[in-house]
Amino acid sequence: MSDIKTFRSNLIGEQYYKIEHGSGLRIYVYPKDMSTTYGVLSVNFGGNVTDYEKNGAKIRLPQGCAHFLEHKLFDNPDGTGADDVFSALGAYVNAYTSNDRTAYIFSATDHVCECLEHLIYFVTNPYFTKKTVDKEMGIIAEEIRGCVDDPYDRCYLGMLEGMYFNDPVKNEICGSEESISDITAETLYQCCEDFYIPSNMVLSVCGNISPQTVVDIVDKTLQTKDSCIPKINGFDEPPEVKCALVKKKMQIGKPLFCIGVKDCNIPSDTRERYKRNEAINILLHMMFSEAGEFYLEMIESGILSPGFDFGYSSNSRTAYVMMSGESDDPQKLLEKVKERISQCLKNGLDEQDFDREKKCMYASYISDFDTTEDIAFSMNSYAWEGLDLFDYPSIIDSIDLSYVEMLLVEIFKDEYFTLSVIDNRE
Amino acid sequence: MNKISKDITSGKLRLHVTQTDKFKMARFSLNFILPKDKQRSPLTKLMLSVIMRGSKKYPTITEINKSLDRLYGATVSLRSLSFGDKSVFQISCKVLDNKYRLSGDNTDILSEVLKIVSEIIFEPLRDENGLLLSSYVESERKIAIDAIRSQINDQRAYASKQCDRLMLKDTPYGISTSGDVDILSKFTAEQLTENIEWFLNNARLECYYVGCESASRIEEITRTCFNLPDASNLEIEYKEKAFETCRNDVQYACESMDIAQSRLEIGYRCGTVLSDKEYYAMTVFNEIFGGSSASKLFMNVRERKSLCYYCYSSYHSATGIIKVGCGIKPSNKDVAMEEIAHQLALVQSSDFTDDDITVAKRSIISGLKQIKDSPAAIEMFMLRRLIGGVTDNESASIEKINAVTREDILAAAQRVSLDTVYFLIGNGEEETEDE
Repeated sequence: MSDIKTFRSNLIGEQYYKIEHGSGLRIYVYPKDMSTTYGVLSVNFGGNVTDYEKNGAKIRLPQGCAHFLEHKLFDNPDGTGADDVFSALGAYVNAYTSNDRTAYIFSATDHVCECLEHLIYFVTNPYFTKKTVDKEMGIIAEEIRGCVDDPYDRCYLGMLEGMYFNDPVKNEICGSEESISDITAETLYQCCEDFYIPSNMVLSVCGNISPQTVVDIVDKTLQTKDSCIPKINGFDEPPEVKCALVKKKMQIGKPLFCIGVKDCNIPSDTRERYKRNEAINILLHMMFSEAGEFYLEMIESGILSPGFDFGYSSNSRTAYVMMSGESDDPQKLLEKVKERISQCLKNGLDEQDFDREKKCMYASYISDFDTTEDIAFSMNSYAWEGLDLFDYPSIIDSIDLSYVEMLLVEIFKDEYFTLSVIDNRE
Repeated sequence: MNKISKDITSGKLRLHVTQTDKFKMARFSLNFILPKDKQRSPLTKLMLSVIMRGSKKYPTITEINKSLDRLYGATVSLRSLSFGDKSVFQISCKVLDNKYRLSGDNTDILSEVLKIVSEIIFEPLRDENGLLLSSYVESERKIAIDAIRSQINDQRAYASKQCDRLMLKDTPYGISTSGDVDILSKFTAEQLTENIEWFLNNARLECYYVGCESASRIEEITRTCFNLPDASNLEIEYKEKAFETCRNDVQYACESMDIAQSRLEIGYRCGTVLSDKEYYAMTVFNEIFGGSSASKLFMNVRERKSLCYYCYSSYHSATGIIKVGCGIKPSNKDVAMEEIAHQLALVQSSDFTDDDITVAKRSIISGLKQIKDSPAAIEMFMLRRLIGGVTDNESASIEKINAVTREDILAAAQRVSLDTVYFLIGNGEEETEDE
């Protein structure tokens, strides 16, 4: 028997359910009257896991393992592929590997129960042979080459390389052609055995389905025994960046930049971390949004092209501010960014800007409840933090201007900045 | 969902309202539709980006964006779309529904946002001579030229565009709404300013709304904000004709770039547009051939031969062409081309199963069913059909997909003929490739 806990939001006017399944799997179900049902099964195993300990043994993985495994789990023991099964049901299946997680997703308008059943089945029933692993090398090598040619991806990676001394977050999630050549069927089986265990996974579903139906399907389909979650080894990381400037040459139309500001002050309490995360995002909007003088000046002076992105993101291990875009003079832009920060430090922040940005964040939160895809993904990531999706407005409410001002003083030290540039010239 | 379409001003502005309480964010879009023209289309695109920089009341983007942020971060975006020989200049707004306003706030969010849009369109900022501000013109010109130069940053999209350019050259289909560096460099502030009036007089305007408000309320707001005079002589016909050519040979082109993965793009003529009765069969054909991960191309070029990470085909129903794209090693070009040709020949000779047909239909139908989950998709489905001169709604489309037979698919497949092969090759890769 699994307990079902209900979470309700008066603001959104909707509810979802959380089930601690007997297997150890955490299940989240958000019934919603939409044509499309969306399911996400995520595993706490991503590209930044290279070193871990299990039952006293120290294990080192080749770079790109989590992503390689994500590809290969699509093969079923009977020779079919997950793609075939979902296509036959008129549904869509895909998977993503991020630095800290691997997520398997489906969306379907019909045969939702069968889809969910197969999602759980294919993710938890590995089947690898030397032949199937070797065959995948060519496909992933082409994926890697595609990434190598993507200047935006290169620029982002350059920023991480500049920022981090040791953390594997600085490496390409797919690995390299060289690193993946060390991956064998045995490596993949070991990763499955160690990480693809129920208490290391979260299932979230949003759409035309009831919590009881989801529980029944999990009861029937999930056969994997739980075991203890391996200890993922962290890496000592000094607060300052490794390198203030990373430049790479590629054939592109206009120089690209990624400015990174490393943040090593990561609260261990997840609610506190979320609060800090959102407060820094409010701060960034107050300083750099399209509704501000900085953006206007940069566009009018031609230093910046439209399409200036910025944001702060954090997980339990790494956190940073990132600003990216296209500029004829990235160095100049960095100077201007720093000037803007000094100006805010000197003159203080504007209360009206603060109120306006909070209002925007509130609306943006509500807009996330318009698609089953957004909801399924949000529930999943909140689950990993142990937070309630409907708790977000109270986190935003708890942020005041003085907290934002404190962060302004704390995070923008010179030694935390990295500039990554992709240019036609050396 | 309650759908209503209504002429607001005769022959000029039509409003399409989908009333539904399914969404928390409403969407309103203005779609200005014009025939493509080598000069006029890029001129219009540039003119619109200039007027979006500032108006009398909101002289800079800062003022515009501040006002929108106060309206719960409403967004107003401009984009241009290409449908065969027509361009659509779309200004779309995404706004929070009134029922989610903070307590004590009585602002009518949508009507306030549309007042800003109206101000931008009808009261652009002008200098003492009545011309669009030259600083805005120069700034937007540079941005537009930079965007063209940056197309090479995304090699897959660039290769696809180059293939289109070659295949559709010297036809209206091949006209780029963005223009080119040469064309953009020559537009003057006078031309851009004059173009505002020309544009408002000559474009057909189709407005779409998806949200909780009633049709009568939206009509009232639309009449207030976009009061355009009647027009009887607009030269825009909602009808499409497939791309044709008198070329007999296949065109081949190759371009080199400093990249690790080479990109192959193949263009086929299929002679079928949205309004043709063969449209649905062509859609099913494309799905079987390369439209999904269950398709012949994915299963063979990627899965069986491990030649690439992606290999797909896409059917462009406004021009009547099918495109195949894949990213490969240069040394695999011939084998990839052979395999793609082979898979096409197999489908053309009826070498596919009834299961393949069922799977393809299910996938297309699932896509059609998903439309009503997204305001943008609802709008795009309606707009696309309107321009294509077709009245089928989602359920009629599903019925027609279901009615497609093997014979229909075979007949569609026979219409597909190779036109253009474009290869974007990585520099200096050839010699080192074969291990």
